[in-house]
Amino acid sequence: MLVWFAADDIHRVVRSRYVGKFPLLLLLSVFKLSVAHFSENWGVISVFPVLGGNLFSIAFGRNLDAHEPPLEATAVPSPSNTQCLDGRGCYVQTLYLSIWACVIALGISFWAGRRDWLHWQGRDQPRERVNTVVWEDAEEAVGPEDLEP
Amino acid sequence: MLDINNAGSIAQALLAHRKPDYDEAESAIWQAAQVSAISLASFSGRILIGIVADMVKSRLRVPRSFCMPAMSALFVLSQLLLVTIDDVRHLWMASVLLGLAYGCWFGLLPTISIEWFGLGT
Repeated sequence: MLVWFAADDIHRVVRSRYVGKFPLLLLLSVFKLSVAHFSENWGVISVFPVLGGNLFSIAFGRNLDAHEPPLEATAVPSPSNTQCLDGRGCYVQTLYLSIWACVIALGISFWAGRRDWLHWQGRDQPRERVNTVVWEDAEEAVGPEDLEP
Repeated sequence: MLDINNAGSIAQALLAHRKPDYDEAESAIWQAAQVSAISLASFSGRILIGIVADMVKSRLRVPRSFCMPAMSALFVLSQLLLVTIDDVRHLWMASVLLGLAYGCWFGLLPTISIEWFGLGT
């Protein structure tokens, strides 16, 4: 992680073997390096729902399968025989997982919004600085007169 | 993505609740209804967020990224609603909310991406 945060060259990042293993680092690299091409940025961002979606879908599927009724020895396999009959209970545990994921996303959104807001306020700083400079100039202009006896 | 991919399974699980002899044709109708609800809400969300994000920036004078917590809150709300629903007839409410959040999110993110990282050359 420290190496990634210290990285300032995109080639160094691409060479890292962890790009394919841990996609979050790739997202961090976009934030850190600010690749100035919209198609690249948006392409990378668009890939992440594929990863997250499949991961959560596997969790959902495994949870749903775990709630299947036990098959009788004489029963002919069919969709009705393997259908979970617990209603909401078939999948609700996966929803608790997704709620936590959404709450984390909410926290990150707040952080991103705050970060953007601070950036906006920082952008207004130069105007105030210009006013301050004018005021200091005026004071300096007065200064030499005060020094004279 | 979890709910969009598995809306059909959720609808079927709710329909088959304590009914081993449920009608599979009826299940298919409910599943199609959820997909339609998500699609229409997603389409509406993409239009809505464009207007809302521009109003947030031009009228309220705050960054467009201020819409992101609202969108995330919509996602959380849709999940909480989905947890409470135990009747397939009410599932459309969670589907609409989820589709709206998803559409808004994917309408907003390209603009945020441009604002943060630039359009490039």
